[in-house]
Amino acid sequence: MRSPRLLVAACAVAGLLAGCAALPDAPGGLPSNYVPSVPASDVALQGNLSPDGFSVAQRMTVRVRNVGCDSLKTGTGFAYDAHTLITNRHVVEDTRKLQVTTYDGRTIAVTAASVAAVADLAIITTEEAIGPGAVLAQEDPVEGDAVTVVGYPNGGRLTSVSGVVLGATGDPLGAALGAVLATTAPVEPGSSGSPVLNERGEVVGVIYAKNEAEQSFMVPVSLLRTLLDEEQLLVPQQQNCTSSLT
Amino acid sequence: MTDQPGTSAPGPHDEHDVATQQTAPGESPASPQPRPRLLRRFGWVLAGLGVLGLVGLSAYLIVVSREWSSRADELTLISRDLGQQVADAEAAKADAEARMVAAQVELDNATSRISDLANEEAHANDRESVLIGYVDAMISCADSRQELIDVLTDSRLYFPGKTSHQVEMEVTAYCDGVAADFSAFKEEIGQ
Repeated sequence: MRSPRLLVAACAVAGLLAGCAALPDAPGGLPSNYVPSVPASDVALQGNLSPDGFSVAQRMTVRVRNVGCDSLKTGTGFAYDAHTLITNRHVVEDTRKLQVTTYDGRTIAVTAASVAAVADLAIITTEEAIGPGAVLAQEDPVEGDAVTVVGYPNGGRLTSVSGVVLGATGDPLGAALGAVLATTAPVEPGSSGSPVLNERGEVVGVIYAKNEAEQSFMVPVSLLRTLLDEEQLLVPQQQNCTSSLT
Repeated sequence: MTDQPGTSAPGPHDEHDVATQQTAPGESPASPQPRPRLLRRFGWVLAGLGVLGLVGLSAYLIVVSREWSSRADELTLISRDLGQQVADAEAAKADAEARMVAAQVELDNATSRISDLANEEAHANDRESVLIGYVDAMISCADSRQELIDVLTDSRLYFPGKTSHQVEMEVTAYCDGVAADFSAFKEEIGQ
């Protein structure tokens, strides 16, 4: 009779001692070198910060004033670099004096202008620096791509309009060799020379015409790149007039 | 109490049985009597060790419990402090966001105003350029008329390849055109 009791007692003591192995430890010291991870700031991702509230696209876009021999007309251009602007050939033709006005009202004199024979494009140089230049896209946009056009329609305020690329088409004016691109972005006279931007803010074309269906047409960036790479395609634009009375 | 056959009375009966077994011929001469005592002592030792173990375990658990309790209090204070810091940071963030929204509105208004002023200045420069063009045209008109007057008043002068009447017609048409364009321009700008 006693042996089972002793056996039970021994087992109880053994179990008790074995249970000591699972006893909780006392808490250690609090960690003093813990550095919490800081979430990455997304400020740099906004990409639209500027010192004056205007976007890069707005700051690089200028209003072109062509004081002609018998008339005055306006168009749009954009900075390729600090002293070089891109616009349309028909914006700078028949000129007596060219001026460009920046988004903040600065009027800058033009020192020279060159026009392209292969497309409705022109290059303007200025003595005073314009500001940041445009980033040209590596490839032409394709059908369905969203685009933004920044310009001075009707010679008015600087505005931005959006649209999508409809696809390649023939030049309705016959001014460009090769295909041009049609978009749904609404443009007006005065928008000629406006930069067409993709969603990354890169220039993918230059507006130069519209049709009655309110479609706009742009010279694709590939043709613009060709023009910039081959200067022999540019012809200096004469800035003089003949008097009406001789 | 008397022993009854078939009953299982403890104590003397068992000892009697043991004694009987010990005196039985042919069985082992070893005495089994010290074994229960040893076992009983061993049991007591085990019980004592168990009690000591329980006492030690209890003491250990009390100490550990107090340390964990102290840690819990410490962490509670830290969590309250962190909670207050989070609340302060949230309030500062909300305040900063409100200020940012207000600043953004002011910035939008300022940029809109800049665009308006730039537009007004551009149109003023447009008008200035047009007016300069009209002035040049009117000067040209005046010079041409003066030249015509000189030719008409001095018989030694003449217009090569043209008659004075032809020149007068051209100058008049030109000057009338300039005047008409200038009138249209004044109407366009509301003057």
